[in-house]
Amino acid sequence: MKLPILCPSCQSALNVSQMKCNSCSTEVLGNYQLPLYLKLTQEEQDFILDFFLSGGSIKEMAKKANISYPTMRNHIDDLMNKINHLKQENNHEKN
Amino acid sequence: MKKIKTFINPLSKFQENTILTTGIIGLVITSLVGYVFNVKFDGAFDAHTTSSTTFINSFLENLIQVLCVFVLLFALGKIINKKTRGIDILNTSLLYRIPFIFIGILTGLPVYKKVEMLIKDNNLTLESMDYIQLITSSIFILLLLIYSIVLLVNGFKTATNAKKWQHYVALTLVLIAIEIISKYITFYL
Repeated sequence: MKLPILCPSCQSALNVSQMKCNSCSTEVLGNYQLPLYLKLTQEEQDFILDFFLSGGSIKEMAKKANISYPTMRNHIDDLMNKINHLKQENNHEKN
Repeated sequence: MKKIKTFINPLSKFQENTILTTGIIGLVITSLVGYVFNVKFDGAFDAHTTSSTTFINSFLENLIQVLCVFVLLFALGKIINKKTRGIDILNTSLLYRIPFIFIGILTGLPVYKKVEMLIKDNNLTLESMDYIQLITSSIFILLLLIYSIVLLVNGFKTATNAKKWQHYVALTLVLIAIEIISKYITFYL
C-alpha cells in the first residue's frame, strides 16, 4: 500500500495527525510533518535504497537499470537537487 | 518508443566502451568513404567533392572535426556541470560523425561532380534525371545532417545534464564556433 504524501484535492503536502499503537490501542494526536525521506515518491525511495544497497556504485546501478552511466548519474543529481529543495522548504517551515 | 529514444540518443543507453568502439569504427569507415568517393570533410558539418584525396588525408580531416567538437564541447560541459566526463563528450563527438558515412556516399554521387564541372564552364544545363537525383539526394543529406545534429545535442545533454535555456544558447554559439574553427584548421591541412 502506498503512503499518500500529497493532498488528492489541492496537491499540498500532507502531515501526520494521528498515530496508533497496535499493541495497546493508544492513539497519539498532533500535527507532525512527514520525515523528509517519506516526502519522496515510492519509486524515489526505492531508488535511494537500491543505490545504498549497491554500495553507492553508479556503474552498478546503471548496469542493473540497463541504462548508461551518465544517464544514471543525471537521475541521481536530479534526485539530490529535489532532496536539497525539500530540505530548504523544511527549514523555512521550522523557522 | 524506447527504440526511438535509443536511436536519437544512444549515449543514454549504451555503455561507454561500446559507443567508443562504434565511434572509432565509424571514424575509419567515414575516412574510407572520403577516400573512395573523393569527398572532403572540411568542416564539422560539411562535406564537399574533391578531385582526389588519400585515406590519410580523409582520416586527418575527420579526426580534426572530432577533436574540434571534443575540445570545445568539453570546455562548455565543464562550465555547465563539473561532473562532465571526457569519455562521454568524446563518445558524443564520435557518434555525431556516423551519419557522415552516408552523407559522404551521397555527396560522392557523380551528379554533384557534373554540376561542379558545368558551373565552371558557365553552362548549367542539366537533364531531368540529374534534377531528380539532386533533389532526392539533397533531401536525404539534409535529413542525415539533422540526425547528426540531434545526436550531438542529445549526447551533450546527457553528458552534462544540461537543462536551462541558457545552456542551449551557449551550445548553439559553441557549435557555430566549432564550424568556423574546424573549417579554418582543415583549410591549412
